[in-house]
Amino acid sequence: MSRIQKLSSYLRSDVSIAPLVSFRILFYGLFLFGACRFLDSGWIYELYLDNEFYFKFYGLEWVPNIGSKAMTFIYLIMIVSSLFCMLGLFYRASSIVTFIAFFFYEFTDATNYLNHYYLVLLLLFLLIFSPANRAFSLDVRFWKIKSYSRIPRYMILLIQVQLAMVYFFAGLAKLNTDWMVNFMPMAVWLPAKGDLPLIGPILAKPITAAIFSYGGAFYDLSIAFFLFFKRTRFVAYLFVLAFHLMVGLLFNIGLFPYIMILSTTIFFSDELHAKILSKIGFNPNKGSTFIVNRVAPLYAALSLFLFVQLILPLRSLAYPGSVLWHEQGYRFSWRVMLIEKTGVATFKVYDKDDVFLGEVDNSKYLSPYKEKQMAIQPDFIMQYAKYLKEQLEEEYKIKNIKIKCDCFAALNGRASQRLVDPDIDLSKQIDSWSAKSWIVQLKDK
Amino acid sequence: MRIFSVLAICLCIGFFSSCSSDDTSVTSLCPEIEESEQTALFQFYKDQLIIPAYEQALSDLGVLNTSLDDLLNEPTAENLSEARVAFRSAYLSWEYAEPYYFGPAEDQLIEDHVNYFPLNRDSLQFSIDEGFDSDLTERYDRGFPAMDYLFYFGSEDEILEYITNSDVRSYLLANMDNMVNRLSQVVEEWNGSFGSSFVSNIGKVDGASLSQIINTYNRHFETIKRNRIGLASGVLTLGFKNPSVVEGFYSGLSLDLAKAAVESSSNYFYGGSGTDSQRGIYNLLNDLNIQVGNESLANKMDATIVDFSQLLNDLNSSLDAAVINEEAAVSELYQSMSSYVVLAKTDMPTALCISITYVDNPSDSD
Repeated sequence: MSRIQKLSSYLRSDVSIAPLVSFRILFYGLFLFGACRFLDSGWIYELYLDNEFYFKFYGLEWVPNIGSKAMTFIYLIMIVSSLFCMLGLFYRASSIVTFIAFFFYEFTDATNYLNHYYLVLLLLFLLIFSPANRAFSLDVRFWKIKSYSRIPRYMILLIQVQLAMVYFFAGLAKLNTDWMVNFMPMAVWLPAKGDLPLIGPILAKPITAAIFSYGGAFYDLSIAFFLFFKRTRFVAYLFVLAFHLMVGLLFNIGLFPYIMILSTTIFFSDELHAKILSKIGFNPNKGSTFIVNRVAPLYAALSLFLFVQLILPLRSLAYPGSVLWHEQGYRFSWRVMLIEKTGVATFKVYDKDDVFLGEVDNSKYLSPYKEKQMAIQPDFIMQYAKYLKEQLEEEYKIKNIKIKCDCFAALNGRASQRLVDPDIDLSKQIDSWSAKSWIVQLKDK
Repeated sequence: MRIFSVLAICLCIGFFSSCSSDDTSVTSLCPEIEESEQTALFQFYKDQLIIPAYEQALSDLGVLNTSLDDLLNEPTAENLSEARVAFRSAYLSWEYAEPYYFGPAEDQLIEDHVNYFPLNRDSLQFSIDEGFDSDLTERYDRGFPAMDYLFYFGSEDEILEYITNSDVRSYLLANMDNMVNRLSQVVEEWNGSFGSSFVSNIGKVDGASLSQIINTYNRHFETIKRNRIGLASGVLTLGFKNPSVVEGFYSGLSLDLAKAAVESSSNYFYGGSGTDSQRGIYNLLNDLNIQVGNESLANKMDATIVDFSQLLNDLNSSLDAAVINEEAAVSELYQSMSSYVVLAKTDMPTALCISITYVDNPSDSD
């Protein structure tokens, strides 16, 4: 057998459906909890105000601003649909609805981008195509749909690989001078937690930032491998628990630690999952074996998905300068906790003959949180400039105004410096994949 | 084993490629500030600036309270002019207490109740008709701005007649009570448990005293720049001026108030008047030898403060007139203050490793 054939038969070799069933219950269960938590926190009414300007992702500008009432409704839908998914009821429809609803939520407001939301979205997407409801589900119980006890290995492997990529790229992104040499931003963030009982004084010590930086990078780069191999798996999972619980304790990262702690259980063997699930009524032998009929489209789809997932985190290499500074290719790349950045962006309005007309009172158009996010991310600065042009031309009944920006940002302990070219009319710039020439590159002495 | 060597190679390649691609150097990283140094600084702020400013404001408010009583009992021109004198000094004294908007001041929402401007006259009229509600916030109907209007809105006779109207009278008294009560509460807290916890609250955590100082200092400075100068000048409205939104519009005190606000902001920075003060943020930055580029951050900030203070002092008329008659000078003043915000809001917190938390993420982050 050739290597390709070997790989193909490995991918299609059958394993118990148990890990997928566990994953369905744990993942949708946590999703359900997260949706209830979000609704309960009142964040929707703080973050999704009606009639406000929303920043968008490039290519996803069409996602509408639906306001807080509709967003609440979307959350109610997600609560019901994820509950159905967890129970395996109307699974295919429910999983599609959950995905679409979360897609709208996630892409309505780019200032609320979180890497772990993106991870959740990808997993929701993959789960649509999985037969996770074909065992130990209400679909099987009520409608007597065909149940499976064995599924091809690639279905489990795909989720494992997705999680592994999150870790690995997060680790790779840490291999920069700020993180590895200056221990930034840990050197700022850890002492800020110095008032915690017991560990506070330790966190305040400079050496702790170094240990966290190296430990974090090593953990991210290696943990997926250690989880994958049986011999190291158990110890690795203890590290998963310790690492995420500690990070969760120190930083305001919401449910991310629990997402990783629960998701990575998929690395455990199918036998172990079957054994644990059978204690609550799962029958590991009920049902047939899932057979892949058409291999070519399957491999094409898998390759495409993995290719996109490999390319997206690496796309920042195509842009000159420091990605931490210009943030081109920063999102959807598993870059987490890398920057402490603050900025002040003052927008100046000129008429067509470059006569200065005035400055913009950002607080009139943006919530304080959006303003803070905008002032450090060049594509947001540009989007806002375009919005301002439209808004001001209507408000003041004038035409052909130019919007320029005096923006200074401070990154990871450096002194503040210009982020964008102050002489460029930002409202005329066009967003695209190409490098933004009006971003002033980070200068280091 | 092969997988681990691949991993090791990846690690090395990644590391070296990133080192070569963005070679960086950081000016100063989270300098340690001695515990004793911190408590001495906070003690100094508390004893030399904050408590004296609040006590002065409260005592001047007491004088105003008495003159208001006299005026309402005996509405004569003489009593009105005395009340106006007392109003002027109480308002100016308040400017020196306003920057310290944290702890008890924040608990009392003191700014809302004492000096939210510009006055909303509809809102004021509503509160006069319906009665003063001391629990409402964000009403722009109370505090000094309301008195500024009621003491100065027209001729003496008009005013004397209007304020003896029973609704207006009870409104003025209730507003006064509310200010005195809240300010007394703040003074009491500062002299009591909050004061001592402030001195010992060292560290860089959100809510630690240094973080409170840096954050409120910035917040206050932005209120000067935007609310006291920017909004009226037209710079934020494409040149359409709004002279009537200045602080102290009716009394014509706007320029004096703005000068006092700038002076109190500077006092906050220096720990007193000017660079020779014993302790303060200025000295702290100097002692830690914090550099921006090749310059001392403290000196850069000092130079900018001197610059815009001078520009403000050079204005001739009240601010509402200055935005029209001295347009260029006001614009220059505003630009100078803008350039200061970059130093105060990005460079200073970064150098001291303090996060700007008065604007914070409402939900999770990552």
